[in-house]
Amino acid sequence: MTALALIQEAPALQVPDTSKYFTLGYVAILGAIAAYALFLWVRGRRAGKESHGR
Amino acid sequence: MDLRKSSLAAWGIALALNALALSLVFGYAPVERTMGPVQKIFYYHVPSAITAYTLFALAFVFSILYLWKEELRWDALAHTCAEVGWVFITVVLLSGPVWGRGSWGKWWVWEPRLTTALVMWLMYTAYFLLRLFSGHDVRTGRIAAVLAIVATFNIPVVHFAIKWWGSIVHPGKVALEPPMRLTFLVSMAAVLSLGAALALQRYRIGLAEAEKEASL
Repeated sequence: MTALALIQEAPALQVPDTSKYFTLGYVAILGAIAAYALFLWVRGRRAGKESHGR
Repeated sequence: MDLRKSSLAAWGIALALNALALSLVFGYAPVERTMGPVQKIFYYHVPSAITAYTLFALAFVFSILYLWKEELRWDALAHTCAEVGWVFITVVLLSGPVWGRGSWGKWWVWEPRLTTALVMWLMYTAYFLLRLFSGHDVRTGRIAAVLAIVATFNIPVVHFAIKWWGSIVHPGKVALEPPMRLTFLVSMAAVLSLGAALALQRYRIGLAEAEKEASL
């Protein structure tokens, strides 16, 4: 098999383009953690304000 | 060092490690040949599961200490670990189906690892809801401690599900190329440090709220 034939066959061995799911996965991971961190920050500020307000 | 300074230091370490881990995931780790870029979900999916297991194991220890010593600080620590662990097992159950859809074309398959992980999530959701809606009395603390102890026995079931019942989607052992291994180890440290930072912050809030309740 010549080098050219190998190059022509290459597209069939291409890595699948799953970048859409890769992005979606990291949006879900970082989004969930950031949402919880934000929830804690808001809750912490409220707890801090209430204990200082007394 | 007081709790506030420890919490700030933990956040500093967690943010630095996560910046490094994400730059490795996005720019350094090679693309896996059969699954493509979606395989890179692995670098946060697996460490999130290990972080959840660690926090649930700590909740188990603190729950036993609470039932034994009846000191509120053990209950507060158990509550903190179970809640933050629940966040990480939720991350696992969000990222897993996205990885599955990208690599084998389905969002969900009723196979042993996924099913037992869902059962684990439901058990800690029950714990979370119990703490949320049942007040802060001693009786609730005891029931929650028993629930956390019982739920921990699901960790080995989830972990060994593949060995015991087999799996069509989860490999038992994965061989990683050196750049993949490095990225995985950095991500592991990054996610564990994030778990520690969130747990410290949650514990501080718990203490502030308990102080507020005691002064009422």
